[in-house]
Amino acid sequence: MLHPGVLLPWIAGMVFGVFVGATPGLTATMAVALIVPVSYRLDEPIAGLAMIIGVSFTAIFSGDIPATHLRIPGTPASAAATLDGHEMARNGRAEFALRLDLFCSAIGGVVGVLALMLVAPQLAKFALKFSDFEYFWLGICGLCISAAVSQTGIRRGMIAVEVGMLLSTVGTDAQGAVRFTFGNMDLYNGIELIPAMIGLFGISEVMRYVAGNRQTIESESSGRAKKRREADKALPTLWRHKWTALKSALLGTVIGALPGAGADVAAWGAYGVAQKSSKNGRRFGKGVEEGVIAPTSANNAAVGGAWIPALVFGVPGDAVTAIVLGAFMVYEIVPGPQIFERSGEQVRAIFQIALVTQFLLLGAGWAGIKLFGQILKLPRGAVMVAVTVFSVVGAYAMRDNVFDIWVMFAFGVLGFFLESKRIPLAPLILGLILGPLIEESLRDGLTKEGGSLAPFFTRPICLALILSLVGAFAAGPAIRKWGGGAQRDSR
Amino acid sequence: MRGAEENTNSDSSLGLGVFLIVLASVALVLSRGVKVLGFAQEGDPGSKAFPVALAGLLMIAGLGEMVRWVTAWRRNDARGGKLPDLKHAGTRRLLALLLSMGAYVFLLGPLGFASATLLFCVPWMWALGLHWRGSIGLTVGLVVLIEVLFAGVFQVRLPEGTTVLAIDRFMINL
Repeated sequence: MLHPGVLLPWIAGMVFGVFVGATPGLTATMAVALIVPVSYRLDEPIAGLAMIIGVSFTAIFSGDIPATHLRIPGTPASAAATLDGHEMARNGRAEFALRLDLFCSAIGGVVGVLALMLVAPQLAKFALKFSDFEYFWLGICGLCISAAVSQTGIRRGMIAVEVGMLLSTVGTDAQGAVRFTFGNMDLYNGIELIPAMIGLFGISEVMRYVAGNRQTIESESSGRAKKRREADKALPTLWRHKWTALKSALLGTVIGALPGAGADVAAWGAYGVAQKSSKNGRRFGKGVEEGVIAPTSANNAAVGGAWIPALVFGVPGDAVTAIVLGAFMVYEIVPGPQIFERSGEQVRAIFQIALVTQFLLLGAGWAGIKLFGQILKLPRGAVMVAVTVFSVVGAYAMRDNVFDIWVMFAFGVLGFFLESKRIPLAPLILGLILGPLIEESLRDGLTKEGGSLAPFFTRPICLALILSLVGAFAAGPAIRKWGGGAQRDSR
Repeated sequence: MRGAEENTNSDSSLGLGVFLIVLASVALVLSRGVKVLGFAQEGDPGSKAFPVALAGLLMIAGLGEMVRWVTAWRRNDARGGKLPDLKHAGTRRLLALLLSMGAYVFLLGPLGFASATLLFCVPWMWALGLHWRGSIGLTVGLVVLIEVLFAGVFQVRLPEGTTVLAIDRFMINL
């Protein structure tokens, strides 16, 4: 694992993750989507895996950097960190805030990965009891939770899910019927996921930049130089609030493990809990350390948590995990209850890489904090044009096929249009990924039972999943209100 | 203003409603042509069922959006569903971007990656605020970086350009 052939791409991936995550407008999802085609070209599969895992953790942290300096979250998962982090930057405490953030992210990541290592194998044994009927409801649950917690409301979230599921029917189904390919051989295996994601998250962002207001990005940070002594207090401060960090990391892991939730929901959830339980609750949003500790611990912890249902059930927790899961499958790491038997060595390697990444994150993140000033100097327009070119190459590199670039282009237009109508993209991606699982489970289950729907509603695990579905619809507005309330209270 | 917010909501509903209805209609029409191979298994709803069901849900959602738009329109007594304003600079830039990206992808085949990227990037970087010298310099740097990284290190065969190859062969044969 520490061989240069593995270590160099690993660190390169983390540097790339820092750059993309720290650039406002470029997201962690985009970072992972762009790095996946590159990772396939490496000689060692473990190097490719390390690259992907490194990017996914680093990009989530580095989104906190512009959130702190500019009040512009680099990724959606960093939105909660904006509130207190930026206030601290305005008071000349940016480096202190970011060092605190970095340590919390590393701690959160370690907690999430440890939870993954402990829980996933146990859950896999339980998952052996799952059959088509349970997988059907699990997929539906994942989609509905994703829709229920989306910030623009359940209605729009469900529309996104339905569009994604409809697009997932393109191609050849399990029975060999060809659907919606227009005679194009390139669509026989369905829509390629990576070009679609690059389009949805990369090209649509470029389109939004070109169409929207071109605001000059200027730092609102105080011009006063930060004292090294204050920045050095990050570790003692973290120790003082260690239970907040730990609690937030655990909460982040649990929320991240919910299929359909993600690091952004985890961050807001942890922020809200920390605010309500802190004696400084009223000062949240005005530059309180706990306001930085809670969301930054939770969002990195959620990454590890999201892999629990992803590896064991094949149900990703969010869009980033969805891409990572797709990448794992190309490496023949097929998710499911038997993943530990079939790909035990590779899974153990993934766990080790994920754990070591948290320590490498300290170095990569440190460099990112120092280098962010250089990134700010790059003209935004040039960055967007470069993103377009990287997106084209990334989409092409999957299969050396120009058709994939057209797919990327089409999804870019689709993503731009849908977001202009406030339709969230994460549920759409999950619909695209989980649609085939849901359809196959439904059809296979019905075939086994001669067309009867009864087992879908009478088996105990199915009933439990249906109840959690109802719970998700009931809790979704509360979670949205929670996050929105935490935001309003802090203004 | 409340009216303005509702007007904005009605704008969103109309465009979204039309999109959903069109998407659902296309899916329903195309589903009729889906052919099932072999004999259907007992209990299997068939290959058309899932897309048809989803199209039905989208149709309902689209009609719901249209109803919301009509309701808001009647309440506000205002026109909703404005088409994009082509006089708006952002809309024109967006259309230009879409056309130029389409041309860029189209030209990757005949001209190859390097030439097509130069033709796309230089004007756009200049249009987005860079000096023309900076645009050329950055674009050349970007192309070199990608060629070295993807073609050199990762062995990705970037499009070479059929026109360029034809010229090469012609020159060799001379």
